[in-house]
Amino acid sequence: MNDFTKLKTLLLQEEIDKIDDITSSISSLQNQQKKDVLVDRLSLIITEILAKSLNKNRTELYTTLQPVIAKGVIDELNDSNNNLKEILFPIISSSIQEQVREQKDTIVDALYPIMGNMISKYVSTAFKDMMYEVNSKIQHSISFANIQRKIKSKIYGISEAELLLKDTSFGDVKAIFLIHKESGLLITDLHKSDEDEIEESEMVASMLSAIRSFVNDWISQHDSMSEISEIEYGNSSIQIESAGSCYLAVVSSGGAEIGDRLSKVLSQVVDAHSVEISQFDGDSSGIDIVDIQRLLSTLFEEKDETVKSGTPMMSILLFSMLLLIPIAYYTNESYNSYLKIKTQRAIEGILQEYHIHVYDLKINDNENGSVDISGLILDDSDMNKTDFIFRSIDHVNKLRSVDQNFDKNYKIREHIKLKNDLSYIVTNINKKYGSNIQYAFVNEIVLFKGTIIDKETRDSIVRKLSDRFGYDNRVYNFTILESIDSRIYFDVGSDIILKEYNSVLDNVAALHRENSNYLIKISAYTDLKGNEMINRKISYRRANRAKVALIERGVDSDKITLEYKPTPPDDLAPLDDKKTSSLSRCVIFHWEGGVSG
Amino acid sequence: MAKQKKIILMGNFSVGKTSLIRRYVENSFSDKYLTTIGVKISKKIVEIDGDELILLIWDIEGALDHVRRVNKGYIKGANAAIIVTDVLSEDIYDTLSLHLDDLQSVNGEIPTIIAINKIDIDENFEIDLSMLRERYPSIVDIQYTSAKNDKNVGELFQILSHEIS
Repeated sequence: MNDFTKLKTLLLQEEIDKIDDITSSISSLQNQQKKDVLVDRLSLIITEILAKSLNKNRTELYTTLQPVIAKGVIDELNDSNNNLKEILFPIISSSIQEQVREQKDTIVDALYPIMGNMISKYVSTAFKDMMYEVNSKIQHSISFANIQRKIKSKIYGISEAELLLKDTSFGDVKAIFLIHKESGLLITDLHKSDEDEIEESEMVASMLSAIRSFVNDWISQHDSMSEISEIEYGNSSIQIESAGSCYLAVVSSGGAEIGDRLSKVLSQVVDAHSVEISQFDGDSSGIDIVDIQRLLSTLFEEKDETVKSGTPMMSILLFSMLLLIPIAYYTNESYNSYLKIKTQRAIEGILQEYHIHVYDLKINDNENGSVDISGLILDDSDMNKTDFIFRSIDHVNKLRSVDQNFDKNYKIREHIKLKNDLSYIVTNINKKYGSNIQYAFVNEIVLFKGTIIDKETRDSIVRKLSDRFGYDNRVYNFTILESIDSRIYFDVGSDIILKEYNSVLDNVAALHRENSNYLIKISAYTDLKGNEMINRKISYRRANRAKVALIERGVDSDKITLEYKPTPPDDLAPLDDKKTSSLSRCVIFHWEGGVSG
Repeated sequence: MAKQKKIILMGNFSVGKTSLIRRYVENSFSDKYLTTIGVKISKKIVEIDGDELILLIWDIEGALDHVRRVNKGYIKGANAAIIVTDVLSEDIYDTLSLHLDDLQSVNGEIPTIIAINKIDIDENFEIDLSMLRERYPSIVDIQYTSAKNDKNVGELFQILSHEIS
């Protein structure tokens, strides 16, 4: 033992012993598995230290502990075996729930811009992708289904994509009720399966009838054409279609699109059983319920129109015929002129879309109630495309109300090859000369006909047609418009039409009736006596008097143009006014654009 | 399918139409309310000469003063009608006439019973409606009823059911 050790022992022996005791005690405690006691004791001290530090120097403590705690938490969360997540998540979840409950609006406001934009962006992208797919299918294929859809799209102004989506939507028809319109009594009902069976069918029929009646009576009283057509509830709906003495109510789910089929089936039922149904008074024994149920049950069948990729446009250009003319007949007892225009536009739109040039497209009502669709096709290769189109027109009947019948009968009429766009030429000529030339194809001869205002104009038109229209097999059948060549005369300073001129006015009106597409020009004149301003007013009044006289005789005011001058007519101007003044006070009727009568 | 018949109940507000139906279809009925659109429909299956007959009873909401018109769609197609009034009503004859006119204008002549309800209030109540029956031959019977005491309620519907079955 050296001196230093001796000194240390003398001075610090007591403390060394105490430390040894403590060390021994700790070791003893550890050895004796009394860690818990140690932890309890130390934790008190640590807690005390932390509490004091927190009070004295909170910020510093935070700064010191933050990295440690953060790392610890991260490590804990990354460690899949720990249970920190299990401890924290319920707390977080509960806090969020509480927050939402108590400060709903604040949270909604805070999240809305983020969530709203995110959802909207997602939906928008998904929808765009879907529409792109749908449109590419539509645009790159030609099939009956597509053309039918196009016709429907044009007529109803619904996009093709939307129609296609409807066609392909999934849905399920659950139950069908055929109900007597007036009494609301149930004629028959069908259910897809026992599970779908709706109890109290008679009650359902009555209540639907009450609702329908209420809507028709109170809501649609200002619009007699309106009918309730659908009742929606949740993911299901009741679609209603009425015809004759009954209506169909079809309960479906999942957005089943059965509109067209509904009309068709009801039309079949009404066609076959309308008499018995109209006499139905609650006793169904007089009705062939089995047959009606057979017809109705087709609504349970899946829609067989599936979307096919279709044949590419070019591949169908197999047939070759010189020209054509697609013509379609179909019958319809009460053909609606509004639908006629819409149908024509729809067909025109489709032809245009498929780059099929059809000239002289016409939809005419025949006396027997049938409808005749005709036109001329320029290009050979368009022939087979039109075959698709006009076979598809067959299905236009689906667009019409159920109580109308169609008799499909397509008929090719004429074969003529056109080198130029005849429609374009004739339209331009009519526009330039104010004429009303029409053309028709009769046995491969193009027949031009129409009334032309004078010989000079006729010669010009014939020259133009010869220059521009290269097809030689043609016949002109033009007539020259009969000149009106009528004048009526007035007393000095007067605009009163004398009775003696009634017959002149009658003749003018009669002539216009025969050529009502032309305009009548009324030119009014005065003598040279008096003030020019006064003469102009007199002239104006004379022109208007003459106009009123023609309107009274049935001439459309839109077909009359006026001209009024404070001078004599040109053919009298060079003459001595003193001698010709009584002739100067006149109104001259002539055709607009023609040579003055 | 059993025969179905549509019966309509007409009458002023608060004469007891709904109570009559409730009493009649008690315990074996479907009682669906469509009161917001002015009609309540009930169903009752009765047996007439061994055959089932389904009665669909349309309880048409009554107007306070008959100014508000009844939806004709509810009256249309009815096989029979019950026109209800009560012993407290004033101008019974005129009120019934108005309802009968409404009924006939829409549906022509269909079997009709007049029910004078709330007879429990005045058991001796009686009114001479012979002129009404003369004017409207479609009236097949007149019944003094009490929904409260279940008097003549079953008979009312029974008579009508036989009439139309």
